[in-house]
Order: sequence, then C-alpha cells, then structure tokens
Amino acid sequence: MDDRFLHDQRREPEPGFARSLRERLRGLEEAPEARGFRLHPALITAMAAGLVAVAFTFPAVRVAAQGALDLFRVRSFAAIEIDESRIEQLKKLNDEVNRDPAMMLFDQQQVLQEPGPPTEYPSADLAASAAGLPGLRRPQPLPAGFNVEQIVVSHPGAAKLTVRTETLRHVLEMLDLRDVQVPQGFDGQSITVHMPASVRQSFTNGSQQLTVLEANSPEVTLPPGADLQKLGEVGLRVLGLDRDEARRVASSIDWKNTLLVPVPTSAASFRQVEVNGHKGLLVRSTREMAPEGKRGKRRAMVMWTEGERVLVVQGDLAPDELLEVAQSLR
Amino acid sequence: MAIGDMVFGRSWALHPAREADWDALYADQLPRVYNYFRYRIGSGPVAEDLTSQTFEKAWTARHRYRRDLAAFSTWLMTIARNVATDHYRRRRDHASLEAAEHVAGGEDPEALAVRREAYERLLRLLITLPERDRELVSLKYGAGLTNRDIARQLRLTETNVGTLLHRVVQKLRAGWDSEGAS
Repeated sequence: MDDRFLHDQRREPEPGFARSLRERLRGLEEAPEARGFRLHPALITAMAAGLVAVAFTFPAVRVAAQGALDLFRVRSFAAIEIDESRIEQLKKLNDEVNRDPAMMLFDQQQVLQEPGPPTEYPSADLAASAAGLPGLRRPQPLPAGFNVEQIVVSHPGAAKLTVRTETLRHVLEMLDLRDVQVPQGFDGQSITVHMPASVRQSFTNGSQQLTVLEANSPEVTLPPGADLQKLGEVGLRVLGLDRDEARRVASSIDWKNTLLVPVPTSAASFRQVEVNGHKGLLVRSTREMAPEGKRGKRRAMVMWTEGERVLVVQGDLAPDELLEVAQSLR
Repeated sequence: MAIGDMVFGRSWALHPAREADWDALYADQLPRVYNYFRYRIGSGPVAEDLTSQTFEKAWTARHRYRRDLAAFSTWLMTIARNVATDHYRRRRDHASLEAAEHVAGGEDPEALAVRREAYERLLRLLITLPERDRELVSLKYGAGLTNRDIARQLRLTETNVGTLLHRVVQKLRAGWDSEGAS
C-alpha cells in the first residue's frame, strides 16, 4: 500500500457510459443557453452587461447597498477602475464558492418567478410584443453587410434573497481587508429582485458580431434602515479602492439610480459618451481576446438608459462605429 | 488567462461564441470526476450516475466558463464534491459503499479478479476513514489533483494537505497490513 497502489486503482470509465454521457452533453451544447434565475447572470442580461468585468462580489454588495431604499432602478452607469490583481483575487474566490457570485453575500434564494429558457423569435416585432417592449429599438440602417442572426427574448423572473453577512466577512477576510467593518443589523434581511423581459438582437456580417440588448430596468426592493453609503464603501473596498478613496467615491455616488461598472485598468478603458441626448458609458477592451487557435478581436460596448429602458450595444466593431450604431437605434 | 478573456468572456457571453473545445475538456475531465466518485462513493452505476449529474450541471452553466477552461475544471470538481455531499445527505448512510466494481470486457479474468479484489479491499478501508480523510484520498488519488488544487478546494494550506495525506496513507497502510495479517 503506497502512493502508486492508490493511483493504480483508477479506472477508465466504461466506453459505453462515456459515449452516452457525451451525447447527452452535446444535446445541452446545442440547446439555447438556459439561464436560471441567478442574480448575477440575470443582471448581466437585463442590464446588458452593465456589470462588466469582475463584478463577482460587487453586484451583491452593490445591490445590498440599496438597503436604505425602497426601490432601486438603473438610471445611469458609472465606471470605476479596478486593478488586475484584485480581479484575480475575486476570480479565485468566485471559483471557490461554486455558486452564483451574488451568493457571496446572499443565501436562501427563493425563486418567485421562474423565467424559463429564452425564446427565439423570427422578427423584432414579435420579440418586442412577447417581451412587452413596444417601440423596440433597432439599428436604422444596419451597418453595411450586417444581417440579423438571432432575436431572443429572455423572460421575466423574480427572486427573493436573504443577506448573509457572514459570507461577506469571509470575502473581506480572504481579501485581507481587516479594517473593513460589515454594517450591523443587515444579516437575515431580504431583498427582492424583479427582472423584466429583455430582447437581444444579434447581427453579423460573417466576421463581425453586433448585439443590441434592450430591457426595462430591473427593480430591487430592499429593506429599509441600512447605512447605504457605508455599504457602498464596503463594496468599493472589495473592488480594491483604498479606504480614503472608497469613502470619497461612496459619498459622491447617487446609489439610488447609478449602476457602477468595474473596468479593469489593464484590459479595458472607458469614456463617457452621449447617445441621442442621453449620457452613456463606452467600455472597450484594450487587449485582443484571442481564443485558442483563433485571431483575437477587441470588443466594445455602449450602455445607456432612456427613461425606463436600459440599452446596450456591443460587438467587435471599432468603438466609434459601435457608437454610431447606438445612435442609429430607432 | 488574459484579463480581457475573463472580463469580456463573461459580458460577451451574450454572444453564441463557441471557442471552447468541449470534446477535449470532456475527455480530460471525465476520468477525473468518475474516479473521484469511485474513491469517494464506490464504483458501479452510482458512480456513473453521480458523474453524469456533475457534468450535466456544469454543462448547463458552461457559458460562464466558455473562455476560461482552467477555471471550469476547478469548478467542475467543486460541483462533483457538492454532488457527493448531496448524495450522502439523501441516503443518510455514510457507512456503506455502493455496488461493486463493474467488470470491464476484454481483460484477463484472473488479472481482473485480482484488481477487483484490491480495489474492493481498498474501499473497505476507505469506509473506515473520517469524511475529510476520504475526501482527501478521493481528490488526490481518484481525481488526481495536486496538493495545491486540493488545498484550494478544501481551504487548507498546501503544507497541511501534504501532512494530512501522509497521515491518511499511513493509516490506510496500517489497515491494509492488519487486514492481510488477520
């Protein structure tokens, strides 16, 4: 009995089993990606990737930061720079928890409304009707050479989450943020997230991709009484800001309506833009993304709101071209 | 892993991109997960069933890791561990092992019998170990993880993992010798 003996007891799976499981998995690969109602992906979908970057821990903290409010709605986006080393730390933490990143703070998720898998529609009009988004915007005209690839509706969902500050304390400990105090009286409180339906229109010219995503703002109903600014400050510390900067930024943010977008300084840049009179945020990758064996591409996204609507245009076009597409939406 | 991949891989998950080589990933990870369950739970249909559950859960959410297969592998093993825990919780029978080893075709029956006997003898010893020790053995020898990977999974230090594994193997060896002598 030694290491070698213990290793030698390994066996290859039965070929028949390996084949049949692979076939079943292939079926999953071909099916549309079902997105269960988990806070983080749902936010990404409905807010159109407003939570760029490693918003692993942050969305949870950010959402929790609405604690003093009755309701949170996205009205504007603001970027915040985040260091690459902190991204790696958060990434590792996320891998360890094997759960929705939001579950770094929340526990006891109760699905109030199951959105089910997204549905593909043959036209934007039908998708708009199904999603309850009259006047759905589309690029007019489409950039030369682009055609509609897919139009998909993600259905509405809702979930209730219970705050678990013990987990947040663990995150702070893992990040060596020992001077950060988790505000008292928040543990065990519930928030409710309502995600409205969204429409994703994908276009391609064969080599480039373009996506337009539109949805009404998600709503987050929260328990009153939390120290909003303090919670925001904790979230900013998690993102890597030092104590003074976190305090300064937290006090200057309109937490009620602003969705913060963490942008990694080494991999992406951002600038404020104007889309048909509405202030927006343009984030672009500064590195080429090169999946194995393929030529890498730089990507960009523009996100803004128009009243209740949240819009995002993203793709591998040049940022200015993407902005033109955003401005062409009618 | 490029930060851009990680960052935009997630936000760009909205795109139906398919860069990952799922065939290769499956071929690489299937023996790891399957053997983890063989050491953790026992062999037979249950190990196959739990392996299937693990992969199906992971594949359902694969878009999260489309561009980051290293993280996917770590995550897959974490799912496997949770599946094993759920299995035990459902059965509330931590003491019994599952069905005996499946018989693979095409192998010399005598050699196969020897191998099966050795494996079953090992399982009888594994059952006597505390949960954490058995988890360590399953991750190390079943899944073939490095001590560093195990440390991450179990939230221990790498040194601690090495020490604990050393002790567990000693314990198994003592049990093996004692069983052989009786």
